[in-house]
Amino acid sequence: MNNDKWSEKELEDTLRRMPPVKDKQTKDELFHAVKQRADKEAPQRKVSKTWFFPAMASAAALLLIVLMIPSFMNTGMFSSSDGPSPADNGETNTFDAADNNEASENNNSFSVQNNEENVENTNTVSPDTDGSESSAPEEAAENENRNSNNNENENRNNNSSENENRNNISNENENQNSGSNVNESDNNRNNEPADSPEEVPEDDNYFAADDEGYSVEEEESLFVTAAMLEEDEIYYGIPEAADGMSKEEAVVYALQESDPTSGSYFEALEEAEFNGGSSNALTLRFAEENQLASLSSAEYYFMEEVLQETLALYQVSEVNFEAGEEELLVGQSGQSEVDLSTLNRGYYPLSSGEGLVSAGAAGEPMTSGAGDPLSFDETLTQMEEVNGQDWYEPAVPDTVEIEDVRYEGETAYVFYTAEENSEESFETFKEAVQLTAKYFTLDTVQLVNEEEKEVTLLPVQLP
Amino acid sequence: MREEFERLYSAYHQQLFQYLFYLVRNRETAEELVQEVYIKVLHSYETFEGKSSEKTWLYSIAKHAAIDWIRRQSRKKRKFEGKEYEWSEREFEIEDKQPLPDEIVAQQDEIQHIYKTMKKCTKDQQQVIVLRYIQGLSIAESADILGWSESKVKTTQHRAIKTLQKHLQADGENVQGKEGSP
Repeated sequence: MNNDKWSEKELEDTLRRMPPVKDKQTKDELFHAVKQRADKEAPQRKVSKTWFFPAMASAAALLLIVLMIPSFMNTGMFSSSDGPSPADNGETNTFDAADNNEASENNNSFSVQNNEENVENTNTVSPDTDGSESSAPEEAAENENRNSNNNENENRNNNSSENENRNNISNENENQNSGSNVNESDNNRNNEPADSPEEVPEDDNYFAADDEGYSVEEEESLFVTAAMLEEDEIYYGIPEAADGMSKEEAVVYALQESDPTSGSYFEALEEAEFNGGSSNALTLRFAEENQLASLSSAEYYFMEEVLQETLALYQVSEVNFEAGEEELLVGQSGQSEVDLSTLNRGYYPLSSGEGLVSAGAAGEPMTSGAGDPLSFDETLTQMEEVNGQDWYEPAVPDTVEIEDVRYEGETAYVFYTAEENSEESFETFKEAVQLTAKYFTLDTVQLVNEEEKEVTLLPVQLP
Repeated sequence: MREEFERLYSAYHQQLFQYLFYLVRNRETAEELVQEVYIKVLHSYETFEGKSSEKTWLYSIAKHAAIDWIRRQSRKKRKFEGKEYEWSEREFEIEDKQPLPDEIVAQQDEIQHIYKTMKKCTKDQQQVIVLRYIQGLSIAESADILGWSESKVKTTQHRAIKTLQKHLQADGENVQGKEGSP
């Protein structure tokens, strides 16, 4: 065989012919060696510091007491008239579960308040929003939230209520298994706020627009088309503004724009339909006259990659092909169904500036040390650095520092500070955060710059 | 202990040894590492929760043992050379001066050539080559062992083949160049 003309097939065949290598140690020799080494190592383990665990337990108990005492004190302290109670002012938007959910459902949960309004109660419906769109799902969510907030009814209109509400989100989410868009990340995200409850200083107005008000900017909802890095044959996403498109329209547009086939076979795609259900299936309907059966194996592989990059962000885990109401067999192996992974944790901008590569495609870590998928805030932390690669960059620019991430219903608040002159990289950061959020059960991400009093609304889901 | 050892040995030993051998490319080291794997496995067997299959669990422990060893070697080498290499860079910058193992020497030239060239792939690519081609594991099994998505296994496998092709082609051109020169 001429070494400079290895085809893929020859290479693969030769690799399969690599010789089996057997251990020459006998079973007894090996067992003896293992036992000897195990015995040698065992005493070392026994010499562990016997005081260590009791000391740690005592320290943890002490820490728990230190953390608990202020919250007991707060319970008594905040019955004052610092802020108007619901009874005092019927128009005041209290930070109770019902309003909170209603605001979340309307995707306009942050609005600028005037002097007369309670600074904590910023989760109001903005003036241009029709507040009458309350629906059954909202009520269901409201009930869930009420159940989870029993302990704080007495204190809901004071500063500490925000913190308690946030801490209780974990409970709420644990009960929200029937919520929309359930995905692999649910448990992980739900656990996160409970893992890192933070004490909110009494005078610290999270989410709050103060007297001077915040400027609010709402971004377009995004979807991605896929393109391939020629050199590495890795697919990346090019963010596109939905501009009023529905999910179905965005899917058809994205697949036709990303068409990996040599004959533009995706032009025959007529319709996409989300079937819902536990598998979050999507059906792609093609015209009866189509060429998808004739895809080469390479085209089929690239098609799978395109489907993964463009559709997984809708939590689609199964794609079915149909033509003329019958299943359509695609590629040489005649598949009518492609399975996708709905696990992705983060996006990273390409160094070339052409788009964003998903963590899954780039091979960036997506799970914690324990093997659980990263939560949203852990993912943002992960996106601050890259794994020694030079073809893509951290999604969080050097000029941006994420201070905190809080959850409220299906909204995530990302508190950050930013240096000046970071506009270009900040745009990419916003895109990366929005695309990342699509893999979680989030409706909205609000980027909050408390220093500059700026809020950027990132609507996560397409209609 | 003996009973568990015997069962694991007869079910998985040669596969595990082969996996380690192709990763560390040295018989003695693979022998040491496989012992280390058994020690870890037998110590933690009672706490094995069965979330993954036993085979996947064993391979994961073997993978970590091999990677730890490679990193240790890399650190030693850096210390020795006084250079700050990343271990992944080392693959491309330091030639493999180890003699070929007997099993490989006994094979045809093309197999020897591929074995040498595998060294030029990244560690991730080498893992996928060993699991998918040499050991014949499925994409799903490989993904479980490596803790990756199936998509990443496929992508890495594809890139591994491309990398091998590139280096084999470059080697072929070098040989032709040398033969052509006076």
